[in-house]
Amino acid sequence: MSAIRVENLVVEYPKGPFRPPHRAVAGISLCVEPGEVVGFLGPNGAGKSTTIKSLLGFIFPKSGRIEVLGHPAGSRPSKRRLGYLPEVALYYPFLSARETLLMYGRLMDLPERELKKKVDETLALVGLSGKEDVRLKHYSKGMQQRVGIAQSILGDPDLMIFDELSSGLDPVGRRDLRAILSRLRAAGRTIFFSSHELSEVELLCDRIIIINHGRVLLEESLEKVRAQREGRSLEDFFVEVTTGDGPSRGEGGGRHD
Amino acid sequence: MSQIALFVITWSAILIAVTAAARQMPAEISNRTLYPLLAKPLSRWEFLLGKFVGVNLMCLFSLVVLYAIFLIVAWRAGTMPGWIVAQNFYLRFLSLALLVAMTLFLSLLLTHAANVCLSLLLAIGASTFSTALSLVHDKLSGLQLRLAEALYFTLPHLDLFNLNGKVVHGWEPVAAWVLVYLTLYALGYIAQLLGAAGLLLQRRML
Repeated sequence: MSAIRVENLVVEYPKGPFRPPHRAVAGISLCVEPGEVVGFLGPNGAGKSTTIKSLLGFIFPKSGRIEVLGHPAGSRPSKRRLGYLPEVALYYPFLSARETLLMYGRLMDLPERELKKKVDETLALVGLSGKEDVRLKHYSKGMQQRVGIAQSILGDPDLMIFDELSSGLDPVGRRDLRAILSRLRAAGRTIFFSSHELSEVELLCDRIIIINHGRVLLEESLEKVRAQREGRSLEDFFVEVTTGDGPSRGEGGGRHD
Repeated sequence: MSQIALFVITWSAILIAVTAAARQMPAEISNRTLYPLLAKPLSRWEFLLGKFVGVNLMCLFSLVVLYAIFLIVAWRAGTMPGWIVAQNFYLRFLSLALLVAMTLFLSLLLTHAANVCLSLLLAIGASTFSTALSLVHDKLSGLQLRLAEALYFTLPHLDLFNLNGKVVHGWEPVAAWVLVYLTLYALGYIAQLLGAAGLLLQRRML
């Protein structure tokens, strides 16, 4: 069973009764296997967030099929073992980090006896120990992002989906985040994330998927990408692929089940 | 004095209910607090129901405070009302729950400002409509009469839930069947409004 399986996903946003809809995703197919760390890349407006929102059942595809952890996207069983970090999200400013995690833990039906221990462990993991009882309205943007990461990894979900992973984090936060992800990766967790930080992608991923204009341009293991790059930076390679000068999916022979 | 106090309680509670209910869904969507919540095993229906219950608990708390102040003042003035005040409290709470369901439904269709304005207008209309219609019913005919009757049978009649006058004039408590009927009446409207709101939310792209 794949952790994520997307087949011919098409998503359109209506623009009004007399205007044609905007096609944000135009037939994406992808597959993420358990234990893989996959970077989902593309320029702004490529369709990354739309695809990720479809995986969560926030938006509904015009056509195509999505399975998450073997269940239809957005269904309760698919969300039971799933952690999600949105691109931009605020958390309730009147709650502390501990209260926030307790609330999310209860929504996940984590047993009350284990929950408090797990919340403390997770807060320590994201570097919020000692500040866990401060109201979130007093947190900086980076600290709020750490709360977001904490809620997404609470309860050791099998699959983690991160939209714009390091958004709002300072260099120390990014370093800490990389350490957290490396630990999750070593523990065999499946991670699917979008990011504009290509250095982060290079350090963490087994495989990358590059999309633009709602289509997959390249789906390849990082090893093969390194071989194809011939000494160029990942940034140069990314620009070439997304502007159409690089190897296309057909030419590159990207993996696709 | 009691009349003015109950009038103030009624409209303060309506204002609190409408303003609180109107901001729930738009604030969750615009602040994006909705996303991490709905990524957990929580359905949109449960989320909506949670909002409905939460706003109603806040309305209940407000009503308890307002009625407590009213009763303390009435007791000190030696004009303590009878048990009908408890029925008035219950029916007021029911009417607020109906209003909260209506405002939550409209919040998925309208902008925040438009929703607050329309909900307050509907609250005024629903609180006065049947009285007003009974006054002018005989003078209406044709399309006007049909329109008025359509509105009469569509809009909930919040004035049915208003026992303020009976409290002020020291009436005996109303019969139990009246309370049962009004409870079913309110629950019917609430179920329809929350059902419609749930269907809208279920189909909405977030």
